[in-house]
Amino acid sequence: METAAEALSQTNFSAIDWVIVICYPMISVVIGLIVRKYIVNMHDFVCAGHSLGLCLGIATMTGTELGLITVMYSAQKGFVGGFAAFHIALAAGVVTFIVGATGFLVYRLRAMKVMTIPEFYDRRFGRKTRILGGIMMAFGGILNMGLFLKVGSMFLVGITGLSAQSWALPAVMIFLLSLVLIYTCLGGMISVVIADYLQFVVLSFGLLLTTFLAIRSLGWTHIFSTIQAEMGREGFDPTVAGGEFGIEYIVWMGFLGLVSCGIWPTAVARALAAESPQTVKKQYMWVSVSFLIRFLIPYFLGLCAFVFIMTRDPQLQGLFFPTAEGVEPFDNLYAMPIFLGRILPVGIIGIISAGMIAAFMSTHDSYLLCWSSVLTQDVIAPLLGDRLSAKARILLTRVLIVVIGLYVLYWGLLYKGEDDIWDYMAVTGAIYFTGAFALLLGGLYWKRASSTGAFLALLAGSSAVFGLGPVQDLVGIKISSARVGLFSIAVTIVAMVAGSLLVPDKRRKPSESPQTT
Amino acid sequence: MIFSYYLPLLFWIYLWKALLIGALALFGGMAVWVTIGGYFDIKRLFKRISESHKAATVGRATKLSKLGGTP
Repeated sequence: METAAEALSQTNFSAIDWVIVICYPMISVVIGLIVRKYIVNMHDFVCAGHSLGLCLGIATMTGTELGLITVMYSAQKGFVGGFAAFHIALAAGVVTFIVGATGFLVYRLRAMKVMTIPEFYDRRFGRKTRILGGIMMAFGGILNMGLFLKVGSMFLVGITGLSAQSWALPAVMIFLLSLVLIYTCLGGMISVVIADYLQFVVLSFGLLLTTFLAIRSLGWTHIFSTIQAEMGREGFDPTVAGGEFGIEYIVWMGFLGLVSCGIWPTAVARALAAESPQTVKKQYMWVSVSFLIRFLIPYFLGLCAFVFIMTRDPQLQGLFFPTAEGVEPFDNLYAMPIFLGRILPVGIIGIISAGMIAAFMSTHDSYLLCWSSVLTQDVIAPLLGDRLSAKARILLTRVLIVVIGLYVLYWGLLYKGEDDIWDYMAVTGAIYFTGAFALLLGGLYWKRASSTGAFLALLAGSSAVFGLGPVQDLVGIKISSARVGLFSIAVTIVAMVAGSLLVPDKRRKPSESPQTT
Repeated sequence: MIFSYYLPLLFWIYLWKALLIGALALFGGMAVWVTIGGYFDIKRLFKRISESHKAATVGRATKLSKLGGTP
C-alpha cells in the first residue's frame, strides 16, 4: 500500500512553482513597507480612513473571508458531504444578499460611525458592556483562529509534496507566521486592503481556472455519477435525517450565514470602513456572490478530490478509507491538496499555491489586526481610562499582534480535537457571536434593551463552548455542535429580553440612540 | 424527513448543477469588474488619505500661527 509520505510526495510541483511561491509573499511585505508612510493615526491603522470605495470594499471583504482556511475546511465538507454541502454556500449567499438589500444591522452600524462593534456596545449600553464585549469577542475570535496556521500549512505541505510527518509542517507554520507578523505590524488596515485586493485578483481567477481543470480532468458527468454511486441520496440532499447534515444543521448554517456577513467583526470591519452607509448596502449585495463562491468552489474541489480518490487512485483510496481493522484513515484535510498536486500543470500549480498563500496571509493579517485592535481599543484603553496616546495604541496593537500570532502557533501544535474544522470554527465563533447577535439586534432595533440585558446576553454566549469535542468529553455529554449553537442563540436572546425587562436602564441621552435607516 | 419525500433526487442534482454553473459565470464577470474598479479605488484611497493629512497639517499650522507659535 502507498504510504502517507509517498502519497504526499507525488505532485506536479516543480522548481518553477517554488520560485513563484517564494516571490509572491515578498511582494506583500514590500507593500507593507511602502504604505507605512500613510499611517498617521489609529483611524488610518484600523479603518483605512473610512475611504474604501465599492470595488475595493468588495475585493477586500472577499480577500479576507476567502482565506486558505476557508478553502481547506470547505473542501473537507465537500469531501465528506458531497454536493449536499452546497446548501451552506447557498445559505451564505442568500443571507448576505438579504443583509445588503435591507441593510440589516450593518447600515445602522456604519451610520453611527463606530470603529468596532464593542465601541457600539459602549455608546448603546455603557463602558462595562464594551469591556466585557471586547473580552468575549477577542476570546472567541482568537480561539476561532487557533487552527488557521496549522490547516493553512497543511495545504502547502500537501500540495508541494513535503512529508506531513516530519519537520515540514512546523517549519512551514513558523515561516508563514513570521511573514504575516512582519507585514501586518508594518502597515495596518491600509496595507491589509491592498494585499486583499491583490489576493482577490490572483485567487479569483486561480480558483476559476482550477475548477475548469478539475472538471476537464474528471469529466462533468463522471463527477455526478460517482457521488451518486458512492454517497447515494445523502450526497445531494442535505435534508436527509441521519446523514451528514439534516434540518437542524441547515437552520444553524442559515444563522451562520448571517453571522459571517453581519456580525463577524472582520467582515463588519469592512462595512465600518466603507465610504458611506449607502456604499455598505451595495457592497453587501455584490459581495453575496463572493460569499457564495468562497464555499462553493472549495466544496466542489473537495468532492472532486473524493471522486479522484475513489475512481482514479486505488492506493489513495486505501489510505483515506482503510478497510483493515485498527488502521486509522489518513487526515482527509490532505485530500484536496493531494488532488490539486496531481491534476494542476507546472506553473499553474505555483500560481494557485501563491494565491492560496496570499489568501492565508490576507485572512491572518485581517484577523490579527481585528483581535489586537479590539483588545487595545475596547479592553485595555477603557480600563486605563482612555489615557493612552495614539502612538501608544498603535504600539500596543502591534505587540498584541505578535502575542496572538505566537498563541496561534502554539495552539496549532497543541489542539487534538476531532471535530470537522468548520464545526470547530462555528462553535468557537459562537462564544462571541451568539451574544453579539442579541446585543446588536436589541441595541439597534429595540429601545428598551438595557445594559443589564446586554451584559447577561454576553455571558450567556459562553455556553457555546459546550459544542467543542474536548469540552463534551470532559463533561461527559454528546450533543451535535449545531444543536448547542442553536441553544446558545436562544439562551442569549432570552437573557437579553429578561435582563432588559427586569432591570431597565434608568435614562439615556438622546445622542446615544442609534440613527435609523 | 418531509423534504426527502416530496423532492426527488433529480431536483437536488439539477439544483446544484444550476447553482454551480450560475455562480461561476456570475463570479467570473464580477472578478473582472472588481479587478478594474479596485485599481482605481486604490488610487483614490491614497489621494484622499494624503489630502486629509495635508489638511490636518495646514489646520495645525494655522492654529499655531494665530497663537503666535511656529508649526
